[in-house]
Amino acid sequence: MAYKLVQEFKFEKVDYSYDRRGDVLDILFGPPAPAIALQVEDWLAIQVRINPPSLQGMTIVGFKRIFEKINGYAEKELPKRMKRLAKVEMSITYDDESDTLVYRWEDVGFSPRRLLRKVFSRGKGIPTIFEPLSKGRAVALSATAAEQSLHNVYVEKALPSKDIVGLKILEFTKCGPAAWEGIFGAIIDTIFEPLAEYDENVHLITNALVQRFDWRKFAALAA
Amino acid sequence: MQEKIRDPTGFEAILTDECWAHITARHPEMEPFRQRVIETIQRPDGIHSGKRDPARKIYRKKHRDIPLAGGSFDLLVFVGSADGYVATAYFAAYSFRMLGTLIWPTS
Repeated sequence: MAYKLVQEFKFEKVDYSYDRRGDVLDILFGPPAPAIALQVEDWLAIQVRINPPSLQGMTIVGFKRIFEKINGYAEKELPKRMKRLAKVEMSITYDDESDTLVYRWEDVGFSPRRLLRKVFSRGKGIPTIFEPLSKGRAVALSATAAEQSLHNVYVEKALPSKDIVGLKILEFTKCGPAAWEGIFGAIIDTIFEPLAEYDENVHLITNALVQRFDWRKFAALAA
Repeated sequence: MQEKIRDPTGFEAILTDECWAHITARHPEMEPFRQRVIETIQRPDGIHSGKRDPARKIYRKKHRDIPLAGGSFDLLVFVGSADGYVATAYFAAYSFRMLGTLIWPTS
């Protein structure tokens, strides 16, 4: 089994480009380049670079209203998010034998926990476990492809902290778009629809994503 | 330059050079498609009102001959209902969820 690196980027080098008049925020993972959008919901698009295919960025339309919602969620769920803002590296790898796509992110700034991890793991990497993203949800026969595809999505948790450090999508060729729809749908519903029922791992992945962005920058843009 | 573009409901959208410069700076693939953006507002397949931001109109039109990555794509154009200005526009290969409430055509 050989995982091939598809893309690697650092969250602190992400560029935030805000058009105040149109209230549109573009989050760019590299210099602007021709891209095609995967529209997640009316306000959110994932921009995929055409050549070579890679994650180009995200577009948020109506940023101020969206920021208020996400900030409300973050204040409730992640009161210490500012302190935890760290330098994060994300890598995307794909294995064509098992048709599996893996996203992994790692805090690269200094922290006592990271130092201990380095000392005790002796370069072998941290021990992790995989759990289904949505383990508690029974899928009804009438479930959409996106809901069904969540069963191919696993979160990777570091031990013993149980911090989420990655995400794995099985049968990516067949289920990739539906899995993304399921993942983003679950994240959006967790933030925007408090009554939506998702279990702990969906909350954790939502929190992990929300923590990775630069909230001081977001707040300044929305002011 | 400022263009006023009337949609099928009679609403007037505004596309300025400044708006266009903002769009193409972030989405360079849009550079040759200003006229397609205008057509999408004039003759859309559908007009939606945003789910999370009802003050936003979203014009959607399928274009079959876009030499970006092959195949057909939906051109999405986002316009503020209050000021009429085009906020952004880009091609989408796939929409996971509905683009909000369909306000045109009504039947």
